[in-house]
Amino acid sequence: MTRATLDPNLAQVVPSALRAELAALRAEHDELTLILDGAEPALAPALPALVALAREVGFLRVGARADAQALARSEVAARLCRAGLDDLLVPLYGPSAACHDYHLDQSGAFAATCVALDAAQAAGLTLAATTTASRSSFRALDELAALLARRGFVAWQITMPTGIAASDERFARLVPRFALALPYALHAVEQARGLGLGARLRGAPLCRLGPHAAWQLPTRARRFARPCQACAARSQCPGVDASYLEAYGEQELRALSQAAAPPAPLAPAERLLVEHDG
Amino acid sequence: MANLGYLQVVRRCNQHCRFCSNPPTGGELELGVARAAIDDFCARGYSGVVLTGGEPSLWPWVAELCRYAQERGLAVRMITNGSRLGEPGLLESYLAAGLRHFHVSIQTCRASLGDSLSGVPGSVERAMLALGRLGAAEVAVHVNTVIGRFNADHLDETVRCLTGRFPFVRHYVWNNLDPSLGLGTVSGDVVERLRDLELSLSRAMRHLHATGRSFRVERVPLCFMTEFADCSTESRKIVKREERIVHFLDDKGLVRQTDFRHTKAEGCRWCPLDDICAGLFEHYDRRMLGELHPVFVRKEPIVERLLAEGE
Repeated sequence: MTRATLDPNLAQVVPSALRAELAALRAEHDELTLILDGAEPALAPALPALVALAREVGFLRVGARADAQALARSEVAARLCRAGLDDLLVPLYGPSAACHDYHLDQSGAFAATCVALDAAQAAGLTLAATTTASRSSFRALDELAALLARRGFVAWQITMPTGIAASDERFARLVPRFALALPYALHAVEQARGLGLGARLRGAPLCRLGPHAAWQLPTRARRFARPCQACAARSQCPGVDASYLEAYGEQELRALSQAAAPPAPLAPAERLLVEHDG
Repeated sequence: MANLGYLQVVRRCNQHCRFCSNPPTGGELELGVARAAIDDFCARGYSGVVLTGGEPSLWPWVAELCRYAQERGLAVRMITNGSRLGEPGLLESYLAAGLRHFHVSIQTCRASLGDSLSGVPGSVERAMLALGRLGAAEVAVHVNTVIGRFNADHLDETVRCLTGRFPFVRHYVWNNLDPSLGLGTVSGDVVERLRDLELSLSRAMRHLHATGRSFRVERVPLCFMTEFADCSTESRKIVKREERIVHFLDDKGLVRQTDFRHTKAEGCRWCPLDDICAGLFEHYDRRMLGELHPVFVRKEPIVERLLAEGE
């Protein structure tokens, strides 16, 4: 799988140069899937052309991680689909306008996203979602699972917040404690799987997942605390952010006496999550 | 509505809690003044009175006032540290006067810590003995706990200890330390961040709920007790439009509290629970405001539970 981070000024790039660049990517990585990433790929006017070029140089599958709102504009989704885009990974922050819009601090974002998702689905794009379990959203995750199933999503990942410094003012109101949020997140994953979605979790220490450790997607290793030193699952565990330990301490972490269950094999839909999000 | 009035009958205490919200002033209510306060509560349609202090068991007219209040139709409770309930005849005199509802103050099950907080060796064990005696007397017993830096990390441990040892205690009350009163601010015992109490409070609430007990929590915004929002003292008062009168034995005198809403953060406007949440008590560290966050849960079931429950 090859990942390309898009330049926001993509429209100004000469198509022939772009074609050569994509061909080089294709040759260099010898991969057949291209994921388009960046600030907001769907806002790049040349995205359909880029997708078409990617197909021309031999990528068999092209996906994008995109804020769905940009697709709400007329025909964007259809043009992308015609150009050869296969799938989209869409960030969704909650099952309601209030919850989603709060996280973006933008009224109307959820409504626009729904319009875009309708368009994307009508165009035949495969949809996957990614959701950060924040202090405000974790109790609404089961409702989101039902919404995603109704809307025909094929895969969903719930991610525990990461990368926010403890001194960052957002930390206190966004980052939930594992002990409080994970029971909800696991319930939502279970519910989503029961509804046919390929649902997975990211970024949780294995000692908080109990028998559901197999649902966790790979996450790069972070910090470990004193209880982790004796943990039999340490080599499998992503640990926690340093900021998490700084803010909340290590009270929620414990050493497991046995290795955790290995990750469950990825269903085809769940592969999208790994390809899109590393 | 089921309004409860609070009557400070004495501002002396046989303990010296370093976080006390109502430290000693030497004040002591005359029985006639106390009766007048009872009359006032009756006239306002209150359903009960809570005798408090200081340590109300040091006040010599508890039994007389209980009889008087009950003759006037008011239910009576007493908040006590329990230290004197083992003294010969005292509890019996209360029971004979019809006092059958006690709130025993226990901050922690860790005896050495509790004794250090109260400044009196053996105070935790005496409170435990009092609980045992009250249980044997088959009266209603609640446990009151002030939340401070000293116990915020083990509220659940204390609750598990108490429910194991005193299964007859069916109701618990937590009050996040009031930084506007008394010694809490001076002693540095006020919790600095809500996140410091949320984990053990959550575990404690879940334990009580799972074992069929009830509880109330005061001065904790709903985003830090969302699963049990119907157990917020302030939310209950907001939804049920209750008020609270406290007769202080100091310069504050009579305080009638009818508004239980405090400071909100910018993000609270997104919260479905905003209008039933007290927000953040003004006197807390302003950094706590940055911890408030909307929670996207349905308000209606919470309001229904609040309206359905009794006192």
